[in-house]
Formats: sequence, C-alpha cells, structure tokens
Amino acid sequence: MRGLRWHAALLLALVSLAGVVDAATATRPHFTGVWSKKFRDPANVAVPIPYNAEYLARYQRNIKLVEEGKLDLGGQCLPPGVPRLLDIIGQFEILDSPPGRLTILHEYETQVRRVFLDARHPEKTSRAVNGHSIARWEGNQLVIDTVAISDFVFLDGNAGPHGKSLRVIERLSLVDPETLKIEFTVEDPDALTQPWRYTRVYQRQKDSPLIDYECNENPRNPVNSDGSLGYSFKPPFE
Amino acid sequence: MKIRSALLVLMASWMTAAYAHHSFAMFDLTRKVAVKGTVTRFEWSNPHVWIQLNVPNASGSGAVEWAVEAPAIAGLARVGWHSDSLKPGDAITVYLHPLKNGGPGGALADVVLADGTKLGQTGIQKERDQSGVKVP
Repeated sequence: MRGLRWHAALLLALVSLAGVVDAATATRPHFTGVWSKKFRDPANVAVPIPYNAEYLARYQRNIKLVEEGKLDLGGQCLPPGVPRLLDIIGQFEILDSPPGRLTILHEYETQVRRVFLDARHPEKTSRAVNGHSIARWEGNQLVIDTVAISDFVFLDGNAGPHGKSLRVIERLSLVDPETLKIEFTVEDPDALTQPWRYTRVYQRQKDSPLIDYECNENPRNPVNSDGSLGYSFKPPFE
Repeated sequence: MKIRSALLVLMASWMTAAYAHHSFAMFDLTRKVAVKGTVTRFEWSNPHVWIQLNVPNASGSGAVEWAVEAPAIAGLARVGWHSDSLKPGDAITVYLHPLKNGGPGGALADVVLADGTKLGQTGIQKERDQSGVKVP
C-alpha cells in the first residue's frame, strides 16, 4: 500500500514536470517564418567595429580600395557569410526542421544555414563561410553560437577583416509576433579590443515566398584585373 | 562637404535597401535620360535583369543597341514584374541613369510601355527618382 502511494507520488511528480516542460516549450516564441531586415528602423543603426590597431590598419586599406572602386563585395558576388548575411538585403526563412535542427534559408546567394540544437561544436571542424552553428534556449531567447567561419568572410560591406578566433553569438527574441530582434555579439580577440555588439530587427513577411538571388546567373559586370567592375553591352552568352 | 556626406549616407542606405549588387559609381545619378526603342532581348536574371533595346538614331538611318541594367529578379518580382513582362518587338520608353563613360547603357529608372502602362518601380528606383533628377 505504501509502495503504491510512492509510485503514485512519483507518477504525479513526473506528470507535473512534463507539464512544466510542455508549458516552457509552448510559450517559446515562434521564430519560424519569413523575415526581412527593417532597413529604416532606428534600432538598425551601424555600430563601429572596435578593431585593434593592427586590424584597423587592414580595415582602412580595404576601405580605400572600396572607395577607389577596386573592391565591391556585392559586385564580385562574394557570399557574405556569418554575420553579414543577417545584415544584408534579402528575405530569409527559419524552418523548425529537421528534428533537432533549425534550417535557415536565405535569398541572398541562396545560402543555407544548419543550426544544431543542444549540440556541441565538433573538436575539429573545417572553416566555412557560414561556419558551424549550434543553438540553445535561454528562457525565451534562442542563442545561436557560430564558430569556424572562413577567412574569406568580411564583417561588413567595407571588407572589415576578422581573425582566426571569430565567434558570433546571435540572441533571437520576438519584440512582438511580427518583429524579430537579433542581438549580435561578435567575439574576435585577435582583431577586436572588445566584443562588437549590435542589434538588428526584422519584419515578418506574409505571403511573400523566397525568391532566390543567385549572383552569378548572368555575369554582365565582369571583375577587371584591378578589381573594378565592367559593364557588358552584349550578353556574355546566347 | 556636408551635402556630399549626406549624399553618401543616402547612397549607402540605397545600397543596403535593395538588391543593388554593385556600387552605383559607374552611373551618373545626377542625370536621367529617356531612351525610346524596341526590345531585342529581355534577360530575366540575377544579379540584374537586363533589357536590350534597339534605338533608332536621330536621322533614322540606323540604330544603336542599348544595354539597360535593371534591379534583381526579387526586387522587380515584388513590384509586379515577371519573366515575360517584356518581349522582343515591344516598343517601350526607358528612363535611365546613364553610364558615366558615355556608352549606350545605364541603370533603369522606369519603363513605360507603348500603351502608357508603367511597370513597377522598386524602392531604390523610386528613391532615386525622388532625388530631384529630371529628364532633360
């Protein structure tokens, strides 16, 4: 009789625990859907990258090239990589699948991010433009942690360089059902004097499916040997 | 100098607010010209949609082929364009910001069809149009 009561109590405890877990899951924000950066929102202000002297010098050299028309990241169709992919034109769609993963589809350069939930970064992973991403829930925030980002990714449109230890933390939350906020913390002790923190807000898009932007379909702005862009008066191929 | 900085900021906001692909440095954004002709080819492609246009010269004795660079597919599709919005043989008037090098090309501002219908303009095209640039 006593044993039975024990079991009943245990069962009750398990049921209520499951209820707590369910309640937490049920109240989690609904990030799935199509989003687009609110370019004119004052929250999306540009925050200077806190470079150390060595990287600032490299950055300034790149800015000069951009100003001289000899470096145009968009024009050269370079994939932006993380984090710039989230700071650029183009809608993206967050999918809550497959199980244990989020998949984020981006219009820009038809990029795909695979975010592994409650996982760990591999001990050794090769660098890639969108790195390796894991995520965990912290209350109502989803925290995405990305490492192993390619050397050929720039932090901003002026070809801001980064070091080998780049890590990007994105904290996703909903301001309201139609507004996604991502708080970025970019850690890079080789290049930065302190983490680079900024916020971006995105508008939920309804009835607006993604339209892929594959930058090299019809290359009519060839990159000249000095990095400047040309203009083809005739189609490159028939 | 102040005006120049303000203009640069404005241009930066344009560049980020549309599928701009590359910088607009090659185009003269202080000018807008009207080019009237016949479509020879319509390329529904990324990073730009392109319109090839046969434009008769003033004497009517010959024609020059113009190559007009439009925004990307996604931008135009969201303002009503589709892959057969234009076809070879269509008589159209194109308003464009000409190439600085004087070649027969430019950045598309607006398209008006023979029956007067205006095709949709993306946000960036509208902003440039509202910047006070008039057809001479």
